[in-house]
Amino acid sequence: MAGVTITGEIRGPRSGPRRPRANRIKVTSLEVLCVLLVLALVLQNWLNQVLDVPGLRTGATVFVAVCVQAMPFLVLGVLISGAIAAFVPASMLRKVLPRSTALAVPVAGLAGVALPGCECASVPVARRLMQQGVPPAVALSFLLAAPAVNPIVLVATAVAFPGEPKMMLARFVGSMLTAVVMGWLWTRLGRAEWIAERALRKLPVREGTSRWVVFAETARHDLAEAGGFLVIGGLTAAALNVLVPSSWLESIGGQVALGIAVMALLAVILALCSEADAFVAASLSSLPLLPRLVFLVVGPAVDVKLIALQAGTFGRSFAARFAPATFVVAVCCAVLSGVLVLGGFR
Amino acid sequence: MRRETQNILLVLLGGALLKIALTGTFLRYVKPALQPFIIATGAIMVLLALVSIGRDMIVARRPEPEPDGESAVASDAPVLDAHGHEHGHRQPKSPWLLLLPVLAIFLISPPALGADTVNRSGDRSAAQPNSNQKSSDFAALPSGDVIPLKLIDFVQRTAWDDSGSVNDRAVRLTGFVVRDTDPAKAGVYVARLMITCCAADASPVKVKLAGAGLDTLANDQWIQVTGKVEVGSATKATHYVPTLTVSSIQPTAAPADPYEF
Repeated sequence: MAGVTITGEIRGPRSGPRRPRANRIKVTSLEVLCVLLVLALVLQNWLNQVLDVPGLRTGATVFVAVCVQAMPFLVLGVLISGAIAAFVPASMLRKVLPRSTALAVPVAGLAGVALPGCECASVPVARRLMQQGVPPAVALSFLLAAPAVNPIVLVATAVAFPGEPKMMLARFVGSMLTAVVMGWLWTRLGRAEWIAERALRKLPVREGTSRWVVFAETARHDLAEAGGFLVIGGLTAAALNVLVPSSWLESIGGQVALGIAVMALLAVILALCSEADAFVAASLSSLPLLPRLVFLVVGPAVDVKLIALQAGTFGRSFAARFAPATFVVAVCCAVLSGVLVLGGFR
Repeated sequence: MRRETQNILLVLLGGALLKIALTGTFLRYVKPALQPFIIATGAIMVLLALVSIGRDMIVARRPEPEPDGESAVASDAPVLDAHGHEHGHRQPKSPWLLLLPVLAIFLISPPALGADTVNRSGDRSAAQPNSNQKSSDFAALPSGDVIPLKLIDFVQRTAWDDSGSVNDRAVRLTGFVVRDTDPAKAGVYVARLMITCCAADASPVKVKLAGAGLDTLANDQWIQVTGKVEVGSATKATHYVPTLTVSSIQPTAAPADPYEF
């Protein structure tokens, strides 16, 4: 978009007083979009030639795959978030949740069992919960628990590890522990100002607007915004999928501590869907179980796709603190759960 | 970004999802079971955008007094907003990125994963020993001169079926050609990728080919290969990649679903 002035829309928050519009040629995003589409059509052959490199082709396929696979979950998430905004009054949520935040955090974690989606679905839902007056700590613990402890993910884990029935339990314990510990940590240390103001702003609603209009408009708005961040996540995952050498895994062998570190990092950069990661973990059979459990607990809580979504939804200063903290907590909880449930470092 | 532009992008993306789901191209990217969900997702995206466009048109036609004189459709959220004081807020830029998957699907239409992914995967394999699995867990193979087998079944049997059910049986495997240039495991392979959810979690399963006529095979060419397993070739040292003594190779068209499950 370089060289194009977009009047009145892509304006930074501190862009100062509005300059008079009349003296400028008005180029809106609509015209920019048309130009981009025409350019893309004209350059199609050239683009296809440039991209005809094995690595780039693989990356493009993985990018489209991550987007196509995650969009249904994101749509489910924005529909739920629209429904919360339109049909669930704040007073109802207050009644359902225990008054003390310390108690509400584990309740919200357990409520995650009811959202059968992967991590993309839970971000818009958590945001609407905060808007409706749910304490951030409680909404965040829901955000972390939902993608990891729902029945679909647990069944997938059991299917992927037929010889290790305890793996499912270990994953459940590790993920729930992560969600609850992060919720409590946020209660003690979290600051409301880390969360961007726009995340908590309700869409302005005129008196008398139909609830269905609020529902459709909230869902559409969330979809357009979060969808963009999902695309960033998809791009990152595709790039890392191609760039990270598989020799990382081969060099680990049986070293548990090194394995934990590498698998935790891999969980972040591969950004797999939480319903599929168990099968990938199962296929890494040269590794001990504990690093693979860490992979399963860290993945749904922190990955590049999720960090992009969180930064977009709650703001960068939130994501910059929340993601690293979750990473450390998730690794510790996974190791603890592994030692307790799986019985030691194996 | 204006509402109208966002809506157009949503229509385009929803349309792209509908297109790949209905034409079957989606099989290059995700598992078949996701088809109804992709169709629903595309339809909901298009619907949400159309509802929004329709409401904008109604609002634009109905002359309504706007307190600050700005058009009701000029920015992201004002249709719900009668007062105009939300207009100074930053409009989201992120929807621009929705253009990338749209362009990727309509213009580039990336192919299914192939030889490049197999070579990047090193020694990872989708075929896994299963501690519970005994030779009795493998069903008896059908009789017949040549048995068509999925690549994953063939590899599992050669590696972990103690009864040797595929030994001395002619099998027909379908997959694409992978030429590995890594000196440690250089050779020509027939391979498939297994996915559980989407192409991002693909892991390879491959069989090394031995015999004549392999030099002309190019990467990613789909072949049907008939032959017998070299008994004892799938060991820990070969990372459980069996060797097939080839009796015939025929080029074939890529199947509708390039992956195994």
